Amino acid sequence: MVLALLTVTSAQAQVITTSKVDITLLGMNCADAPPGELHLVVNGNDRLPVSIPQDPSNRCHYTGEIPDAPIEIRKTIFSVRFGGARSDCRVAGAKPDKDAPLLSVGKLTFSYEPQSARSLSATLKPKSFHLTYVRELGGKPGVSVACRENGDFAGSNTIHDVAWGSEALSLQFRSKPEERDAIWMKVDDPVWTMIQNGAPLTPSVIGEAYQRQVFADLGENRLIRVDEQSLVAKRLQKKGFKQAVLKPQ
Amino acid sequence: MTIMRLPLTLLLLLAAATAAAQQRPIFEAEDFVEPRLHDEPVFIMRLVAGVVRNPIDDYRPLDDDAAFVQVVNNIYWSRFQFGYKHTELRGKTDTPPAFLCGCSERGYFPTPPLANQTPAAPPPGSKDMLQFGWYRSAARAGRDPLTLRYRLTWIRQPIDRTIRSAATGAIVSHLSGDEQSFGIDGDTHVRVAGRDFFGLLAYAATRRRGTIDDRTQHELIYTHRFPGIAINTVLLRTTLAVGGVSHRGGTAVNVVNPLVEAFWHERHTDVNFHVVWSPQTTRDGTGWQTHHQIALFADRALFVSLFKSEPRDRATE
Repeated sequence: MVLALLTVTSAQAQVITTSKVDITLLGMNCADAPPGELHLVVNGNDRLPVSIPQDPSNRCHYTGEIPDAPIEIRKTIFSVRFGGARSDCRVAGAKPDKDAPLLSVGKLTFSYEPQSARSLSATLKPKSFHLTYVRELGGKPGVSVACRENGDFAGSNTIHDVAWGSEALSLQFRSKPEERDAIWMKVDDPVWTMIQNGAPLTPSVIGEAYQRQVFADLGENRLIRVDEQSLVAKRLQKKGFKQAVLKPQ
Repeated sequence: MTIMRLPLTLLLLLAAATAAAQQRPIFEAEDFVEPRLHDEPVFIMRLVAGVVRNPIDDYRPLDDDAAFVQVVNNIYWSRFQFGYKHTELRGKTDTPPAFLCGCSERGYFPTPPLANQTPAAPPPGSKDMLQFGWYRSAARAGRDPLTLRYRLTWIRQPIDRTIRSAATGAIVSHLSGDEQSFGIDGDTHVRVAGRDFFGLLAYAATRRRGTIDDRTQHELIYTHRFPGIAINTVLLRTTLAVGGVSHRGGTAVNVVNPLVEAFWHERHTDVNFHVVWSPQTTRDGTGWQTHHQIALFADRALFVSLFKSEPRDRATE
């Protein structure tokens, strides 16, 4: 009895690490799976996804190595970018590695919905400005976990596979990477409409969006703070920010 | 530290209760700035202009429509705010002269309202307002601190009136009086069953002197702020003010004042547009009366200055 308890406790405390992942796509005919590799985001690092090659014999199946391994399987959060679609965030299960039975492989399954996301190309003026972004997804109990994915770049780049409606995207424009007091702007419906129309996000737009979100989302004091709106816009102008254009691709 | 701050806040509120915030004008743009948004002193000058149907001044109906221009100057420094506002209000009709009765008792025509009636609002004119605000951070478990503002306000409006003889129509005198108001207001917040309740508690004392209708008025009003909503880029807010105003022939609650405001920011010009509807119900010695105040106005920041310059980026476009 005591031995059994100790064994269970030991197994629960066991840290399972891996450098390999085994990914299966669900929810479609495998012939419809996107060809080529998929991009695996590990622990929310949206700028450095890992390319995982497709199994030539099974287009629903991808296996590959993770750089910076080993990772702790049960404490690592994964999501996938397919090019035109993205997954929710999940924690891998562990299965034995058939090539090395003493080791484990991180086993992941994701649903694939084609054309459910669009990449956003972002161009900042001036180019020295940084765009920092956060992508937040909710979790579904027993299926997926809530997660927060981050990225940052200067000048121009692409935010891949944004699933508007199922993820929340927030943007921050910084004159230098170490700037800490920059304002976060959530991409809400009016901002998303502007993005779809190719309209530039100017300091005035950002000030307006900030005020709207403080008023309607946060509801702090429930005041329409016109001076705050002007201050946020002026601060960006003073730092030299002109505009950001985000275009869906 | 927190324990020390609470009595200080209460002391400030109580001390000012011996002096006297006035009913916010329906066209006041909200000048609250979260101190976390600025490390440096900030100066903002704002122009507000528009028209009001059936305006009400401090719970006293003007019985006229009016147009107004207001210049708002605010300095935000650390947790403090210093404001100066100048308002020019003009009615559709000029203020008529008052006529002095030649009777044994000194009396004027038109006759001022009785002591238990709602006094007449001061005639449309110039008004100056000085404000001092202090922002306090209130800690919250698991959330950013909440910032609440407390303000002291002083308002002065000169009131000039020509007095003519009721018998001959000749000018008898000019009265150069004024109305001054001292007020204090403070944001309130309570959290009950996981829900936030925000409001404003305001006390004001107003005294009019050197006029044909010298009056004093004390008011204690709580304004509840309901959650705001955004319909696309239009913001909607509603408030409900309830309280008591003195010298209206009673001591109970005699002011009930809901307010609905729609707000829209025009991005190309940076002009904010407001439409406000405020049906105000007050009671005096003659009973309850409702006046519908409707305002349409616009505001825009003329100057926004951050006093301490920051190093500008070596930006290349």
